[in-house]
Amino acid sequence: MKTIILIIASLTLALTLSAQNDHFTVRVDGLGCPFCAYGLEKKFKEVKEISDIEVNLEKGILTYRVPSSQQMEFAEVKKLVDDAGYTPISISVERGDGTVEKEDVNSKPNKDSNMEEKTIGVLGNCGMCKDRIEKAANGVRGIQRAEWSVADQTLKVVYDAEKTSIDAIHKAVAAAGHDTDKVKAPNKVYNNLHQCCKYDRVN
Amino acid sequence: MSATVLSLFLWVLISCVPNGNEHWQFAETIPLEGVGIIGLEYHPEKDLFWVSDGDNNRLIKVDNEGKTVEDIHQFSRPMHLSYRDEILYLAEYGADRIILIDGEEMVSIPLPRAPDAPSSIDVDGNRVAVADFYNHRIILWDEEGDYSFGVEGNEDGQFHYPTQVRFYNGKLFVADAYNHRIQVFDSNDRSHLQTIGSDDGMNATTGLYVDEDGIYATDFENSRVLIYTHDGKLVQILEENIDKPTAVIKHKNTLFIANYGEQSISRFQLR
Repeated sequence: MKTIILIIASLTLALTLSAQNDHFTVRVDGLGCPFCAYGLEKKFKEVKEISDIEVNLEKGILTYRVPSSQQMEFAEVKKLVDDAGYTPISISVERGDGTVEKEDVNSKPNKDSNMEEKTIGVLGNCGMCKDRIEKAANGVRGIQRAEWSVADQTLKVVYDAEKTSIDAIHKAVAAAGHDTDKVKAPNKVYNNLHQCCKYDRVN
Repeated sequence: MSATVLSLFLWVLISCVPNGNEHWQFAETIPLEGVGIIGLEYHPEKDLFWVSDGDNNRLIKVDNEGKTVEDIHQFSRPMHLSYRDEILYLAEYGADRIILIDGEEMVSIPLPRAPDAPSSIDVDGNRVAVADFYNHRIILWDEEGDYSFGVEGNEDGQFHYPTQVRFYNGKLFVADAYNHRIQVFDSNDRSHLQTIGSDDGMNATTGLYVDEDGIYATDFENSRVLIYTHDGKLVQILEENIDKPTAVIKHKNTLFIANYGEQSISRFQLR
C-alpha cells in the first residue's frame, strides 16, 4: 500500500513539475540595436525548451519561460548570453514553486577571467553629461560597468578584453560628443550638445 | 596673386559639396506606424517600397504614403533586402536562410557555408555575398567556388558583426557595424582596398548604399547618415528627421532612409 502511495505521490509531483514554468528575467549590457536584440533572441531560441522569449531593446531586458523540470541554472543562462556576444548584468528567476532567486553577475571583476578595469580621462560638465558618457560606454559590447566622475573627469570601466578594447571605449565616448584623453569628439557632435554640457575643450 | 587665391577658394568650396552646389535636403517623412523597419528597397516602376519588418517577422509592400498594400510573407526576423535585376533577395536572420523572391516564386538559396544570423545579401552577376553576422565573416561565392573570408577583429579584413554588403563596380562594400566603419574589398581577389569612416564618430554602421556618386552609411546610435565620395571623403552628414536608421537606398535624386526608431522612411532630395 505504501509503495502505491509513494508511486502516486511521485507521479503527482512529476506531473506538477512538468506543468510548471520558471520565468527568467535577464538584464544585458550592450543591446544597442535590433540586430543585437534579434541575435540574443536567436541564441535563446536555439534551446528548444525555452519559450515566450521577449527582448526589450530600450531597457536591455530579456525575459523567457522554461519548464521547471529543466532546472535551468544561472551558469547556463550566463553562457547563453555570453555566446550571443553580450554581457549579463543580473539574472532573476521566479521558479514554478514560487521561490525567487537573483544574482548580480560579475559585480566584481574576476581575476581569472578576461575582465579588465581601466580609468580614462573624459571631459564633461553635468548630470546630463554623466548619463550620456555612461550610456555611450555601456553601449560597447563587452562592457560590464562604466562610471563617470564629474569631479575627477574620469571614466572607470570594467570590460571583457576578449570582446572589446579600451580604444573602442574611447571611440564610443568621443562619438557621443565627449573628448577623451585619447580621442577627440567630432566637432559637429560637440556643437550639438546641450548648452550646459559644452565643456571647455583642450586643444 | 588674388586671382590664384580666389580660384583656390572656389575649388575648395566646390569640392566640399556633392555634385557642385547640390546638397541633400530633407523633403518628407513617410510614417510606418507599427513597423519595425530594418531592410528597405524601392520598386521605381510601381513607386512602392519593400520593407522588412523585423519586429513583426514579415515582409511587406508599402506605398509612398506609408500604407501597407501587401503583406507578402512571414519570415523569422527578416533583415536587409537587395533588389537586383527584378529579383528581391532577403536575409532571414532568425532562420539562417537567404530567400529569393521572383514574382510569385519564393525559394531558399543553398549556401556554400552555414551562416549564423545572415543579416544581408547582395548579388553581382553570378557572384553572391552574404553578411554572416555572428561568424564575423562574409560568405562569398560564384559558380567557380567559395571565397568566404573574414574573422572577428578590428584589423583590415576583420569584422565585428557585419550587417550589410553591397557590390559596386567590381568592389564589395561591407558595413562593419561594431567596428563603426565601412570596409571595401576587391570582389575578385578579396584584397582589402579601403576603410572608410573610422574617424567620423559612427556608432553602429548598420546599413549602406553605394552608387556612382558615393557611399551612404547609416550611423544607428547617433541617428545620422554619412555620405562619402569614393575616395572616402566625408561630404555631408544628414541628421534632420533621422531616428535610429538601419538602411539607406537611393533612386535618382532621392535618398530614402529607414528609421527604426521613429518607424518611418525619411525622403531627402538633392537640391
